[in-house]
Amino acid sequence: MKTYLKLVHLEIYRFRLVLLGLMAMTSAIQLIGLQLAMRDRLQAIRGQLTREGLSLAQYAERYNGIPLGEIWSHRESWMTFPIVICIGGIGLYIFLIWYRDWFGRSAFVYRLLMLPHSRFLLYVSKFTALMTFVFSLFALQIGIVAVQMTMYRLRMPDELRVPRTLVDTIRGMDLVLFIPVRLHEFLLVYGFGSVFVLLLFTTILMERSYRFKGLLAGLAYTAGTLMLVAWMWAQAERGTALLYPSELLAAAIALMLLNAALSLWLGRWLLRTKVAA
Amino acid sequence: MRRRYGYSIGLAVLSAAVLAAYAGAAGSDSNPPYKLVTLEGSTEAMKGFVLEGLGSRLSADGRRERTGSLFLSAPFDDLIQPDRYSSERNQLIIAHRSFMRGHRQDESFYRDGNFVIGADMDDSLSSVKIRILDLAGSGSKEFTVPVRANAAKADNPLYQDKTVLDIQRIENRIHLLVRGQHDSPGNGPAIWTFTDYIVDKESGELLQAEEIYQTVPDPDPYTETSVELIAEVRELEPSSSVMLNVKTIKRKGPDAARSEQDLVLKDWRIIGYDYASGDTWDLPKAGMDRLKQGLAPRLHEGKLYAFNERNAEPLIHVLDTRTGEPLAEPLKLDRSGSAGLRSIRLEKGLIYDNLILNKIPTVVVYEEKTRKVVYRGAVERTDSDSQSVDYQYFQFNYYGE
Amino acid sequence: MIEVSDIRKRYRRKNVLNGISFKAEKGRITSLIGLNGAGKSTILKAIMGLTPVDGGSIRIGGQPLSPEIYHTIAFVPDRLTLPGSMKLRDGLQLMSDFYPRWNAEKAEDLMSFFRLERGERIGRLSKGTAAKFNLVLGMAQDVDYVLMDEPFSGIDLFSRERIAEVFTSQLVEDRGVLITTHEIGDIEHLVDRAVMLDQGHVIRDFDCEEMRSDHGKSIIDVMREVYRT
Repeated sequence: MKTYLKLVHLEIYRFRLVLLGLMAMTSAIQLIGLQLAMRDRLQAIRGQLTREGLSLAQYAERYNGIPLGEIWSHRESWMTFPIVICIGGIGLYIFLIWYRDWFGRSAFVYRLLMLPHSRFLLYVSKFTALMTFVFSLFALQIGIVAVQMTMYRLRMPDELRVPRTLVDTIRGMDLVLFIPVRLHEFLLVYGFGSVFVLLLFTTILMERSYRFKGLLAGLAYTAGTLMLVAWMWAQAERGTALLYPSELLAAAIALMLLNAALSLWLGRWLLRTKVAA
Repeated sequence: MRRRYGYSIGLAVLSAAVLAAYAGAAGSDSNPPYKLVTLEGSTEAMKGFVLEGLGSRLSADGRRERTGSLFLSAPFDDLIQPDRYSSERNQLIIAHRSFMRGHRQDESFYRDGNFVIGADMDDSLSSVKIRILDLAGSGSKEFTVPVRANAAKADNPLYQDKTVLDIQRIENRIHLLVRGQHDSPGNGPAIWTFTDYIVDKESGELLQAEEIYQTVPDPDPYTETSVELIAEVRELEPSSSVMLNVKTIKRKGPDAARSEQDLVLKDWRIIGYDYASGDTWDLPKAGMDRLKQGLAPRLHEGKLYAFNERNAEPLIHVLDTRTGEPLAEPLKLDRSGSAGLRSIRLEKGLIYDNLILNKIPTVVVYEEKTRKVVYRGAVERTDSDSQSVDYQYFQFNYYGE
Repeated sequence: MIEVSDIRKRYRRKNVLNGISFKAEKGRITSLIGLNGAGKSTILKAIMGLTPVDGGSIRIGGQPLSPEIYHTIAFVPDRLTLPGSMKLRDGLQLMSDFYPRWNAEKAEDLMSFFRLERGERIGRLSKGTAAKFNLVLGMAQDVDYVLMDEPFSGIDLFSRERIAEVFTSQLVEDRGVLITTHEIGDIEHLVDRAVMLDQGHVIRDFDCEEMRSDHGKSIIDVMREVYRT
């Protein structure tokens, strides 16, 4: 157990600068983006006030206030762009977290594989570290929206403000795909996502054991699973499907649990017997 | 490295704390700040119905839940999207899971105390599959009935329209009301046909195919005939007759937009058809005149209802389907606080009126025979910080259990 | 005793190891000798589980390979095994964290002996210094066996002498040492057993003391015989 935690710390510590960088970038872009969006909106409204000869209160009567979730209008990409970058970065690190040990002047992989501990701990600790990165970004996003709410409160005039709770605000944005407010949405997105990470981890180990053939096999299996799940998702809307949507969901979940078990078992076996440093 | 454990521990603990707080906030936020309050009567009539609006779904027994923010899990909801007049289908699914498997979007269903019957046109548009479930327990049967619906041209948008419009059972015969389309000689507009295919319930044999009506193309290219089905408002219920709303409309000119001012009604007929006897009739002029006041006709429990939801104070007329004569005094509904935002639903001898009354979304349910109000309810805001319900229109939908 | 029996390995159509068998006993220094590409490094890596073999078996103290066994063997490869961005002291800390048999005192002694700076970054060490640090990592563990892959390659003369000193003073005691080298000159006088490889086979396997006294030949003499033909 202690070894596992130390390994997790090792992985988190190695990545700390990149993670910090991603967090800083996301915060900066999303917060600045909000300031710009508010500035544009207020400018447009002021223009409208002079044109229609209204006071702020009259404007609010006629057109209703603007809640935080709707300030964005044309600038919502300022919110989504950093998220895409983070996803890309973490996605890339799914591979690098393994490959960086192999490539480079030092063969750190020698050290890791020689540790007098079960090699499976390497697999589990890397997975844990990756999940920690993902959830820390998730938490950061919530924090950023909270800060945005304060910025909104300070800058928007009272007449135009529509006070909403944090959860309410997030619920109304596209953001809710990444930070779900419903438990079953969360489990679906992050549960299925985790299983795909496991599939990719095992694919990497396949490549390290069987080279190109292994890589191909692993990628093919992962892609196949992805397509199967997507197909099941599409089937749920079709009336002619032989399984009801709730049954399709149960089948998809069962499939993913099976894949998780398979990935873990195969990954462990490969690490023990087939992986070459 | 020992002294730097703080970084990892801090990251993990901080993230976990934020996530836990978020989960807590989301959990306690699952109830929307609105509820449907009973002002009068009993909630019995409102069973299965919901009011949806402002991100919430409210039912008369006090249940409230949020709608929206469903992405990945959306297709896995087993309930069919309720539309205005149908969607008791999910009742069929719940009651007869294996019978409905793979068939929940079939074109037409019929249900009475003894049987559930489904009909679906096959993709080649040349036959209809009929499936009968015997509720007394002897299982289900299936027939395929050849049907001349004539495949429309592939690029015609109506190609995807439902073509089995209605299915009824009269004694041992099953009636399929099928709409077909074929080209008229010489490149004019297509001809629509409405045919009753009568099938023996035991053998599946096609006994008769009776044409009820066929559109007649007008030589004037700007004149079009549209035929709308007036079937029993509750899709699954037995109904001995059906009606066709036939309107012939002329557009003012080639550039005329399809707005109402540029359309002229050249002819209007309502044709009734009785499944059992095969009789067809036109609704007499007196009845047509009553409808011409802008009322949309609907069939329910063998009676012709006519009303205009867009009136501020609509009247619900109840007419005899054969004669067009009123069967009772029209029912006057409350004056709406917001013209145009109202829906009226007929069901099981009850009339549901969903409107904005005194600024507030309200539902009033009348018993048709006695004209008494059996339920009145309105939407209330439970949290004064949230958006006001004034002048907010809530959709009235059937949601089932 | 490290017992290697008939191990085989194929890599990209080449039989790198063609049924290699030998023993490395505790308390002795055994040297694998061969020209470049003879499979020496591969054998060491196979013993350490860093590369799988296609056939044969490897036993250490009678036990097959397992994570527990690696408590008792240390490997000093010809490459650095810690990330270049780490400082030497962080590297030592890592070893202490993960190796229950890490001997911090011995590590201190060795660091002083080799005159290594704790604050240096691993990636910036010169070849010679890196090799010395590798030796520290390998030898500060209280293990039964030490494997070394080309410990002298690229090292200057004086550093080699210091390393050889370590061999005699601290290293052997009752440990089993298995090294590969083609710079046999430096430690010829220390090696107890020589195993000579060619094309993936063991072609000579002898006790050096016996070879000297009975045949009057040094290891280098035998090498000349074997590899010249």
